[in-house]
Amino acid sequence: MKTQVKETPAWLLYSILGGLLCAAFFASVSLGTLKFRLWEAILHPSSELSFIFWDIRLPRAILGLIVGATLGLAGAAMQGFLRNPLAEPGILGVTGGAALGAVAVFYTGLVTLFPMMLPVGGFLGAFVSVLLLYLFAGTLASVQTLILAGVAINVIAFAGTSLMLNLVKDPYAVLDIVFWQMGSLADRSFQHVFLILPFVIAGWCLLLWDGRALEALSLGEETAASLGISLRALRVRIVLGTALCVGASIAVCGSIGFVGLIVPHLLRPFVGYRPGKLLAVSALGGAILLLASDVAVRMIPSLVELKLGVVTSLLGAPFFLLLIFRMRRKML
Amino acid sequence: MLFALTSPVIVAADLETPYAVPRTPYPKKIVSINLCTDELLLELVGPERVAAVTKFSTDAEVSTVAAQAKGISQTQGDIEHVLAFGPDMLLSGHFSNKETIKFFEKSGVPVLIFKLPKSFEDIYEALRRLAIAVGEMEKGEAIIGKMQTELAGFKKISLPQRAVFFQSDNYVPGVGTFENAVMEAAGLRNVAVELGIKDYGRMGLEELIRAKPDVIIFSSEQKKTKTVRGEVLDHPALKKALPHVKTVTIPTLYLNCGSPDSVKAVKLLVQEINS
Repeated sequence: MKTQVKETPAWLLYSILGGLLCAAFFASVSLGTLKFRLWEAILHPSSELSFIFWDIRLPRAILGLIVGATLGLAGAAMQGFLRNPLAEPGILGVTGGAALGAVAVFYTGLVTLFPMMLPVGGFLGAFVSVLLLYLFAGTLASVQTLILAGVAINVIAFAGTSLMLNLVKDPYAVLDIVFWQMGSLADRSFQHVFLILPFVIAGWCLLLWDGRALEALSLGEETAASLGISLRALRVRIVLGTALCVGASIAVCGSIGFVGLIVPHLLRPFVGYRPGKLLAVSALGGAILLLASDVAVRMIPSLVELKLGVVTSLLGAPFFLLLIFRMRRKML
Repeated sequence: MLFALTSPVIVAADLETPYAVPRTPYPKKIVSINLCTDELLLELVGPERVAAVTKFSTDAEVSTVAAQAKGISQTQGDIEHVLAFGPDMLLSGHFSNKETIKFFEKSGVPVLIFKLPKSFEDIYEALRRLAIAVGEMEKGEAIIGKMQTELAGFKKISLPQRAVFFQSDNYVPGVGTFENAVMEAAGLRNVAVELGIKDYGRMGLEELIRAKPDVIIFSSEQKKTKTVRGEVLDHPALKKALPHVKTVTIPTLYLNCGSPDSVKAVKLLVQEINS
């Protein structure tokens, strides 16, 4: 018997996602505390508005695009590789590890000496987390084992960050860490974009390369091996790729979770449940979700601007619970 | 000072609480479990009357009485440890070690709680209250007098200048904060007050550029470690849009608590801006 899986034609899917991405990007650069028309900023160079557009809004939107795409892509790659629907950088502790690495670089003062140490710290933290994840859970762990491993890594990362908070003398610095951890794209500059770009592009390449291997892997490890896929090489690429792009992104934006969980899940039906095709599509979807959330953060009327990481968690946590609920029903 | 709202160290004058009636003889084994009460106490009495202070008191990065606190026992402020000193008076802030405060209130040891100051008057009030409790009224008045003379003696900032006090995560102090009192004492106009911010509000980079302040005040630890907060001030948009803005850094220890040394924050502002 053959199961028919409907798949949206690629051109349609990409043009819809592309359109949404353009809209989200446009919204992100045109909305903010100050109201003005974009052409006013572009027509009057070296005016106050042009500085706000070129140096505040544009880097913020570009960073949102890069970080969102990273999180979506990494989520899809991890779900494909671990063949596990709940895999996601945040839940599995990669984000937490990256945040710990970045905080360590910040408060040892290393970042003052070499700004490049910030993404490096994020990368190292994320790398150690992914390695621990494989040590704890292996490649074919059950959903429960994997989630437990993620919980353990998150606890370790949290303990490390708390220790750092404990050791910091300046009370204001403690506040800084706490706020920073909530995740935000506000007030970043092009320096941040250029700082993480090499890491992120290297990570993207390593992950996007894996499309065919992930498709083969979905048929089982033996079949994949018989098709000429080296599992060891695939594992190295996924580990390095995830650590590079997630680590660097988190290092400049703070902890932003759940994007990698929500996006692949929503888009999977449209690519016929194929893990390889899901990669690029999830990257686009992640960028759209993060840019849209970042617009929402600025537009939701509240006493203080909400933190981006808080908003994605508010969206993601119920989604996570829903997934667990659905999985439990399937098991019964 | 924002830190004080969220964390358990800090504080000063409590106007609602009536002055504690001093027992005679005056207390000789005073324990302070809050850095801010450490600072007030060590300005007023000698180390021989102090049984213990906080571990922060000897840290010159955060404490204004690091020199005086040398050699005095230190406590974390937990009940057992404080009890071991057999205190005859306990000093604390509103947020620190609530359980310890409750315990000693019940056991009949005089407990003095000091609130966060919102003005220099609040600091004078706190000093007077503690001076009466420890029987050092003359010394207390002398310190207050010296603070008042110093504050009145500063050459005010020549031209009217508008300033923003930028703190962690874009928080800015407005009406009813001690930072605002310091800015006013230096003769500055607080942009946050112009915007109608009460207590602490937030100001994004875009609003900051639109407000065009003449001075941005920033507080930091004395050693210049880079923090997330400091990074915002390096933002290229700020440098381009406000090329002539003056940045003044005030060491956090002058403002953490509100102490006689807070006058130095005003002095620093006036000097830096007039230079």
